[in-house]
Amino acid sequence: MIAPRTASAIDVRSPVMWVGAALFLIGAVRLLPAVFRSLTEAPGPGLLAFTLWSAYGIVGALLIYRFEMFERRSLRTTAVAFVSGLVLVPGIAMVASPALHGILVSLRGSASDWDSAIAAPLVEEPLKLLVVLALALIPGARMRSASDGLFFGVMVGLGFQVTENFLYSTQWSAQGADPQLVLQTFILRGFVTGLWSHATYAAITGAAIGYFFGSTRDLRTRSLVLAFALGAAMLLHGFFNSPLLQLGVVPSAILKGIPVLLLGLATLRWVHMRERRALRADARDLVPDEHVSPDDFDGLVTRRVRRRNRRIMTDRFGPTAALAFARLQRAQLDTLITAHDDGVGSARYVQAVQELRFAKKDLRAEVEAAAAAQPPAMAGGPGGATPPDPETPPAGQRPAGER
Amino acid sequence: MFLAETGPTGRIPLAIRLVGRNGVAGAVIVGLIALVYLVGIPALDAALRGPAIDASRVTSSSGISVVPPEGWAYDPDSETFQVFTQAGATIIVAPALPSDGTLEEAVAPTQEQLASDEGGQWVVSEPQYFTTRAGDRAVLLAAQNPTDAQLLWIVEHEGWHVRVVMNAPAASLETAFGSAQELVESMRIQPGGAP
Repeated sequence: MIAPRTASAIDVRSPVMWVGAALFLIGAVRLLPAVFRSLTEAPGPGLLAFTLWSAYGIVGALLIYRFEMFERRSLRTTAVAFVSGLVLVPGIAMVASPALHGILVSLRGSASDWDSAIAAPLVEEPLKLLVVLALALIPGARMRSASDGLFFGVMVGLGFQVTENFLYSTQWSAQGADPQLVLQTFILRGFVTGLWSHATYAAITGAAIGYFFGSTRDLRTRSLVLAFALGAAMLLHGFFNSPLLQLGVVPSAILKGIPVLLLGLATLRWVHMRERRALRADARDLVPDEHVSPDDFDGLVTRRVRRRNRRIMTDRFGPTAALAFARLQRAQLDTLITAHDDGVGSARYVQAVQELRFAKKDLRAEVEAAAAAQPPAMAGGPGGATPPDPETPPAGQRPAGER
Repeated sequence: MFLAETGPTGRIPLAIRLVGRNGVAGAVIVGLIALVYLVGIPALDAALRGPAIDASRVTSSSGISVVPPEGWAYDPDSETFQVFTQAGATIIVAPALPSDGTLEEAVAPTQEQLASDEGGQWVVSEPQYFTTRAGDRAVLLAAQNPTDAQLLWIVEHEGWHVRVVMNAPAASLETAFGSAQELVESMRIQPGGAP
């Protein structure tokens, strides 16, 4: 039995969920007074910052959700990850971070420019990782691969980034800054430094958690990968906060961001390759070819290939058929993913196969309708009007050079 | 049933092995890690921190008295400067200096210096003016970069200026700022003697 009892991380029978809920409350109790003060002490800049950073978080989360390579993960679990990053992580960090700064000063006898480079990574990276770990320990969250870990890590990191930046904007706006400075900070921390900030660090460590829970490698290898990822994220975060390379706001942010971006992209590539390999194996060995064959998967292998195939469908049979084809692509992917996550025969798998059958039927009808409407001269032309058999992918599903 | 990631080793991923388990061990692990951050680190900080001063008001030899912020360690070694520390933040109350300029003139050089310090990446706020509980006029200048904050208060009393400086990590500013502002508002100045 590999199908969890719930469809998302919200599982009232899981003690992990209840511990997470308690930590969320603690975080909220610590955080919300600060948010309230930020909004009331200087309402103008406070509301502006709240609006800008809320929009940043929501748009960012939706874009990441929308542009996932294969899987549309549970919206509930995604929301749990994002909101935990928004509240739980900064709330607990507000307790631990000042205390760790205090420890560093006590040990050394005075403050140093390096304190933030040491304290912030030691507190923030493990706390973000803790949320991803908690999700991995709730089977309903279906953290079955490095890709799942990366996705939820990004959501946690993005949530944390939004809260941190909102507080950062309003802390000094309450001390006399004007809305112009809120906007300046939004651009600086949202775009100049934001693209290689907390979301990227958490993506790296989240991928390692996903690998730890989803891989069949031995415990030592998985632990090493996890330790390396956490260590790398902390080092990069420390480097970003360090007094090194103080060349001005933008040059420093870009120079310090390059290693973060490179490691983030390398992690993304590694994760996609693993995910592709696993789904290809599912198409070959797990899911019957009548539903999704290995050849079908070749036509689904990247977003670009899928988009190109949809364009071919548009050219040959029109936009309505292309829409039906997009639905078929989604249903094929869902069939593979549900088989991988919950197993063939699980309720989610059966539902996905049913949707796949409907999608094939719709596509067949659309293609036949389009073929019938086409003038006879076109019917035999290149790319012909012969409707593709939805049981096997249309010619466009396997463009040359993709296999 | 074949699992795609089982692979040739025959091992079953941990994520699959967790299905159907009660999850108590996982909850304990998550709870313990959180406790380290919520309890362990603050407790260690409290144990290492210097003693807080047990007085309702402290007075320096230069005649400046303030109400010490609660929970802050006090450095009793300096007679002329009053130094308080907590959570990596340091508040220094300097001796009063005679000045015939205005608060605006007094704060301007620091504001310009911070604004022109490109390496420091400071975001500098406009000066904010207020009155202490003793009725003295004061100004606050705040500057913050992604990791640190610098705040300067200047309190004016009958031709004397007292400077208070706070350096704090950005992470501690939210808690430290209120204490520092309270300290400044509680200030009484009597240069050359006890207030």
